[in-house]
Amino acid sequence: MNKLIKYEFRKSLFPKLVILAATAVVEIVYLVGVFGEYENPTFAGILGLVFAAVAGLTYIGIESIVTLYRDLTTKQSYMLFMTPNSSYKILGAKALENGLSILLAGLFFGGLAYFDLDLLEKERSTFALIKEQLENMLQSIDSRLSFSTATFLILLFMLLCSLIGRIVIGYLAVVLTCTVLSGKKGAAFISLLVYIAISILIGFLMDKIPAMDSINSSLLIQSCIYLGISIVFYVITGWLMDKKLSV
Amino acid sequence: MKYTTSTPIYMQVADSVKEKIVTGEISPGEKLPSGRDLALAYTINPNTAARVYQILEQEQVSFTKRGLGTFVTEDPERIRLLRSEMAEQLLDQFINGIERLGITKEEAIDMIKEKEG
Amino acid sequence: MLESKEVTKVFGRKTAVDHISLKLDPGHIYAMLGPNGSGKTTWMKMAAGLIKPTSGEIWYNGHPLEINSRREIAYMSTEPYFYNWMRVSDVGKYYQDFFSDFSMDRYKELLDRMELTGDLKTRSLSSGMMAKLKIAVTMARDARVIMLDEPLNGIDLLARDQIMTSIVETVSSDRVLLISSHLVEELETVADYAVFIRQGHLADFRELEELRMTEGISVADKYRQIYGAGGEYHE
Repeated sequence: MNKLIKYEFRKSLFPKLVILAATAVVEIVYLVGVFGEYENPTFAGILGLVFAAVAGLTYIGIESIVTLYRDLTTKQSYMLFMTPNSSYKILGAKALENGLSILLAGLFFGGLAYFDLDLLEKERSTFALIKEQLENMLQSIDSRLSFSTATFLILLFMLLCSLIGRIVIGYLAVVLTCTVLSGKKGAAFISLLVYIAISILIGFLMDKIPAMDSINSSLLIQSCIYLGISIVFYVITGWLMDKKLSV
Repeated sequence: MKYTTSTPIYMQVADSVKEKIVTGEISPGEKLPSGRDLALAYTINPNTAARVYQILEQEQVSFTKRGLGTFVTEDPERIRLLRSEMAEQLLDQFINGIERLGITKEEAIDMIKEKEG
Repeated sequence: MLESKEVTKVFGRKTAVDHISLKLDPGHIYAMLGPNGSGKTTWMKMAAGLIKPTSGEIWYNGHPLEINSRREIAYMSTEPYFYNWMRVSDVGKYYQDFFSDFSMDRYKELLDRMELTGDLKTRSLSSGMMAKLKIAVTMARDARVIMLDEPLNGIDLLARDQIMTSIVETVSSDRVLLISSHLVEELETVADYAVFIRQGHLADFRELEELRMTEGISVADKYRQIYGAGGEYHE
């Protein structure tokens, strides 16, 4: 499995390097603005960083689904399917690599944001104001939110689970396009509909969960549901690949 | 080696080996290449190479020493006979050819005598 | 060792392979012959596990084809398939990572013979070099079944000779070699069986030397008989 993960990482390396390079550029612009006390670069830097973070995370979020589609529809598929790896291993490696990438990217951008805002505080006292604003905003969403470490960690775990869930549903859509729906008109469109439908269903399911006293418990339950969904769709997708897929 | 692909390959290779024995390129008693090496040398299938040696052994042109390999016969009489056999083969082909052209044996002998070398 | 039981593949309205049954035994080189679109590649891909039959089964070593069969079956496709970020050396490492029967030494030896170096990028290889690379990496595996789909296409004469030598070297009593080719004449001396595929059917299955002995014709002549204009050939 490790070897599969190694190659999944290598396949996705180039776009990640591009994102890293772009982020570095806007970060430099921002730093110039903050230390040189120029308004415009600081502002431009912040905008650039937000954009890089959003675009970067969005791309990494769907990257493995796009790669899977490419892996299944081009001759590159032979690389994977001539090896003695079951579809479960192949999908598992993809999901793990992507999930970890998203988490690391999230931590990277999160850490960068914290560092950059901290700099701002040292230079300007407005940071303290911004931090207060953020706290207020969070409180208004849910009165139980606070910056406790335990909550933060469980939140990350829940995010990872939900991300893996969404990725696996994406895999199912791709595999459906290439197996059951293969050759039929509008296969990709139907898969997209399936993806959206399942996502909406899960949304409903999440809403139905009764609110718990502790936010940690709530988060844990959501995590378990996402994990359960991931496992179910993972098994279905793997089965389809093993039994029905021709490349 | 150029092959005629409409006649069995193993016979053509066997003939090639026999010719080498007759001309002395391969000496009496000399060790012949292994089946694999023969296949590589002639770019033929190893099973065909095995057949070559089967036929050579049947005709007592070669013999196998268990564990040591295949060797050319040391019997000078056999090799002399081989030379005659191969000459016969060529003669048959030649006679067939000239008969098809309507040339008599006597005419052919004269033509040969007139030929240089 | 490799058996095809009434294998059929239908793509939409086209039947690419129609109830083909055959058995391939180790120790032989089988030439799979037939024009473009006759079903050779589709059959090979089914034997490699890349395509799933519509009906019928492929059996390997006495049981239906499964994921682990891939450990012992090597298939070389007609199309290039390596990841485009790879160099020739990366291709070798990939095979080494996933196939326990892959020999890095043999790979380097074959690359040498074909005059390819490890630092070359796969995306900048000419079609001839790519063809050689595919052969090198496939034959560096000590597989029990080696299937080469049109290995001589796009390869110059000298390299072809080397490939034929490599193929003869690879014959062994526990290995099946299946080669499909348009270049019928190239395979005449090296193959010992011919599998003729015509419009998805198995048209004929002959031992070559026997064909020469009993009918006095070459494989190329037989090919013309089976596929030539006139088409009264009966299977």
